[in-house]
Amino acid sequence: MKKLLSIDDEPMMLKCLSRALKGKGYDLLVTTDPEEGLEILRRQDDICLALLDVKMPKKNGFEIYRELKQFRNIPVLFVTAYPRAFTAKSDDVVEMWRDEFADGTTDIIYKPFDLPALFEKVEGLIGTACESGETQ
Amino acid sequence: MNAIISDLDINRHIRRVLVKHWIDLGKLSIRTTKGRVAIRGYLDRISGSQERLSSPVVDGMFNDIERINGVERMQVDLANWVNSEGKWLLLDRGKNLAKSDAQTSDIRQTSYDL
Repeated sequence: MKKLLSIDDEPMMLKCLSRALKGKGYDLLVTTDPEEGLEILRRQDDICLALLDVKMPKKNGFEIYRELKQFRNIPVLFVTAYPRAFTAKSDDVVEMWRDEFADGTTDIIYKPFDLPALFEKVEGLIGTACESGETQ
Repeated sequence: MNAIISDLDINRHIRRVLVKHWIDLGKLSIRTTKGRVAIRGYLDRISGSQERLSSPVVDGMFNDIERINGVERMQVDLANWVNSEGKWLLLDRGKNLAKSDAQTSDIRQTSYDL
């Protein structure tokens, strides 16, 4: 079973994601705490996808993403209600876009979304729950 | 001889092409099944981009995607761009704003058999 981790400060969003993705056969771990999420990603090397909220009070999704990319290169799906968070006017976003997004293992989904859109994004990054997610 | 490339690899290569052109991935849906690529949604650059997308850029971008190893067929349904006689054209901006909300309710479809 493919293991995923979602970091989001909204418990209700985590509950929805959990119900949806577990229903599709994925094993989804969730946390509202970015530091705990990073620790889980360090300890559990079988996690194959991280779903990151962008705007969070303690640490934003971009900061988590950059820390994660320093020790692991797994696919990431940003889950956010703020399309304008991805702006070319931010030096940080531009640098991240050029350095990390460029390898094609990062995607974005905007809230609100419907479940088929979520499944399509997840499956587009790691495949269905039962198929091999290995890339060459 | 080309190595067999998986659908996930094709998706990754498509995202690489789109990212290279600063395309907002959140407004697009990409699905590849046995080498058949389907791209739907609203094609635009991320906010704050200095240059708007032009027809030659969009033409080149989809040409690059078509040429990805393993792509057998490509179907593109965009709310704000239409393919006319092999050339991608931006639809009227006023209509586009409404269409971006409606996403693919009024889609234009272009298919390529490679």
